[in-house]
Amino acid sequence: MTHRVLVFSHGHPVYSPSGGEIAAHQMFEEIRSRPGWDAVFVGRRAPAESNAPLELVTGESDFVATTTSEFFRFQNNDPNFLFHILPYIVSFARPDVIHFHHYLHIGLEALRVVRNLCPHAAIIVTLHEYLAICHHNGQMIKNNDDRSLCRQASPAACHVCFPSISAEEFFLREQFIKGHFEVVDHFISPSRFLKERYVQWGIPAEKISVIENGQPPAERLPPRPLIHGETGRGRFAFFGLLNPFKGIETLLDAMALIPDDLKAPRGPISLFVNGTSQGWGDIEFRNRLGERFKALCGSVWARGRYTTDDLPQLMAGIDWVIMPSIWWENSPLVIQEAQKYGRPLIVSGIGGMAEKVRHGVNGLHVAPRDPRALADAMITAATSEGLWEQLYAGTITPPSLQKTVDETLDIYSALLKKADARNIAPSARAVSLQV
Amino acid sequence: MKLPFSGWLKSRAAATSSGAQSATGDPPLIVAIDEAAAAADGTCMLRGWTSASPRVPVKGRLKTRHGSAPVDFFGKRIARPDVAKHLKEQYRANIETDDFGFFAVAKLPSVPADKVRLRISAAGSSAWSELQECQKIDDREPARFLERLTASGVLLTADLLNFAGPHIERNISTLEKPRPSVKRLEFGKPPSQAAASVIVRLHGRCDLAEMQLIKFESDPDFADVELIYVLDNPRLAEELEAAALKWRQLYRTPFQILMLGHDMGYASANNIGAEAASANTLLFLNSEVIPKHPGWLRALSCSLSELPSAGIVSPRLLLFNGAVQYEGVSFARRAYLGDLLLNEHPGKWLPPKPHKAPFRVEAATGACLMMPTSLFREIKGFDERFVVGDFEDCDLSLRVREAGVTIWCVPEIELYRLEQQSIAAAGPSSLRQATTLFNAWRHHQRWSKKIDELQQIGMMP
Repeated sequence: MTHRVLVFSHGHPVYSPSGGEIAAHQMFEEIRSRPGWDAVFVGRRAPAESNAPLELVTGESDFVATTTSEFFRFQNNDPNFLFHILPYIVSFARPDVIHFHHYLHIGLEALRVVRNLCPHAAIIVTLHEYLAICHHNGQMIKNNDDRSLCRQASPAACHVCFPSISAEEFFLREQFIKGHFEVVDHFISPSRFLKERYVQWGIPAEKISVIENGQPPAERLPPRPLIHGETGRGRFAFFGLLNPFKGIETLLDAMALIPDDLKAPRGPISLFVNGTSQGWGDIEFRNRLGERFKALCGSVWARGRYTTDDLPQLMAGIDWVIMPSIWWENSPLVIQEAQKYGRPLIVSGIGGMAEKVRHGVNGLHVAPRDPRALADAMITAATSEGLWEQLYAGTITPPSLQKTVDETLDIYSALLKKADARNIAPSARAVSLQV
Repeated sequence: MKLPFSGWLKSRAAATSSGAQSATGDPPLIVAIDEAAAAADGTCMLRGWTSASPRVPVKGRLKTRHGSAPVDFFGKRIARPDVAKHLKEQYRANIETDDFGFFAVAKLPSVPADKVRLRISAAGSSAWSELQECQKIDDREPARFLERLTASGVLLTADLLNFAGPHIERNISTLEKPRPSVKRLEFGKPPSQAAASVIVRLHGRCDLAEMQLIKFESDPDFADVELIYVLDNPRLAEELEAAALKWRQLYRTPFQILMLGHDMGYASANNIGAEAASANTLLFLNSEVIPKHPGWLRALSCSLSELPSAGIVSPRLLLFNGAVQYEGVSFARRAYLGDLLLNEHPGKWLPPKPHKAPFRVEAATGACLMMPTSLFREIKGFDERFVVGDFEDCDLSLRVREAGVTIWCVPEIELYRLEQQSIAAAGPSSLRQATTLFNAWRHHQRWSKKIDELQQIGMMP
């Protein structure tokens, strides 16, 4: 018997090639390739991108649907999507398992619609960041000038972050989200830290499994060959979007604190910044970055946008990857990529970063938002004999996509077994609609 | 001449005085109307100022094209330093007070079509002032004039309420408020024999109903409940109907909506809901009350049938942070409001005490109140003359007590109440405050003696 999986993603990689969307699509393809399993993928795109409510992208089961939800309670106010397109998709997919890789843009009501249509299907939601908990872009950092870390959300604390929204409204937001989460059978979290935050927020621990995102295979790179006369491993790199939450300002401030005789062109330490601030609307932030780059000319190189295809080459030319994010992160792709190519990391010692990089084993932890601590760590990393080699040896390969899918299918199977144990006939698991 | 105050500017052309300036430096008698507003029964409220000394008795008559009436001046003058300054400068007057403002009422035979003329006499002189337009007071917002007064800096004291209250009340009482048109919409098939009818008035916003539906969805008790939403705001009709179509497809709990043709207020809207109810038990629920756990309705219903001679039961209500919002209402006088009787929520803002047994209370909140339908009908429901809100529940509770039954709070049943959220869009807070005080005054007039008696003999609760 073949089990059918309906996969929803908040974006389709063709329209929005970001980490979460790519991971969801890769999983869908991997599931389809497994004997006994079949899958349908529905990525979401914004109404601005197309008028067509549903469109086949490739093959026979890879769709893109057009809809949107608002950003406070993630409510979808598009009845055509909720009550026509969704049932239409469900009647086509006839799913035993419905896996949402996010509810963002799709709307929380979609969970309830598919639950009503398929009372016995297993509904799974993958949690990405802290959006259900935190209105501040789901980052759990305070919405103030210093963007300090938030350790626990509450209606009162959230109102302090957003004075124009009452604590009662935040309470209602939480009730609304939790009310819709009630129809979910199981959650998947890519990190233990994220799981802990959601357990603290109120989801029972036994309803969340930690499964790391899988990575397509890649060859681990050899150590960067030292050039003539080079004494230490002082080439550092930053990868990712240049926005205030990624800590790029902390990193550039740290570079400024490193004595001139230790940094290029006189010393061994140099920094390569891969990524762009384009699309980040905060002009003041971009201007500040521009000034810092200018002041650090000769020791910092801004290399602009990159794709995953560029990574082997970019990683080959550096020794360390730095991730100085000022928010908790979840399971950052950059960490997995650095580990895949065998590059030790220096990361902020909080949240998902602290979990994925082990201090003294395959990287170093530093206090977030502390340029002095980061500068010291960079000097230590570049000048301590044998440290890089030790951490390089400790670099672990992130889980493969196959392993992630194995673990995910185990969860699907367990949930389906539970349904079987309740004597639910397979034919009752999904409705068949006349559309 | 620089004239810094609006009333003078409005009435300058018309204001005249027949008295001459005295040799002692007193200004001539001047009167000016800043504002005139008439309610539907012809009760006209005036705000303005006069140069007459506060110590001198002033008589007045208000005239329109269709008749005239004597003017009743509020006994206390209102500070108008701008007037005092002007009189000093203009007339070199010997002035030791700022109290030149007045508030007055006249019961005209009908609502003035256009201008009103106020003629006053004091200490042998007379003066008049004309205002080209007399505003209309919406009968559904009788406290509007009180609000305007407080907005102009007048303290809303017990004296002022005692003065203005009867005029406002007479106006409300004489108005036969017509029943609105009611459009009934059904979403899902209601149970044939409902265990309870739950009535929820929607006024300021609709989305709170969805919050409740989400909670009812996971509560088996709601399988046999008649859920009636009463929309008391026709401006939200389209929005609610569209939302209800969506809710119908998302949630299984059947519900109906009674859409009222015009705003009626808490009491009328709930009475209309109760008239449509078919169950033997009624639950009045505010839209900002959100259940904490399933099973609360059945538990409340059991309490109503099991507690000794219970006529009303209510649960404990919690604020969003888990602190107490309500555990029964008690009555207390407020010295700063001239011993006006107000309702209090003892224990509010404090952490709830666990495992507290049901206890009798002086009155129950209308935010979540259960009672037998027969009793509700016997006492003729909520008093609709508490126009906008507040005190209807206390009044109902006190009438229920007179019917010989008791009122209970069952603290082990808990729901959340997000105070003020359902009226977020229901008008400015100054109007709310004025309305609350008027309602408090009205409640006081009706019940203070009875409550004193009951409290003295230890019968409260």
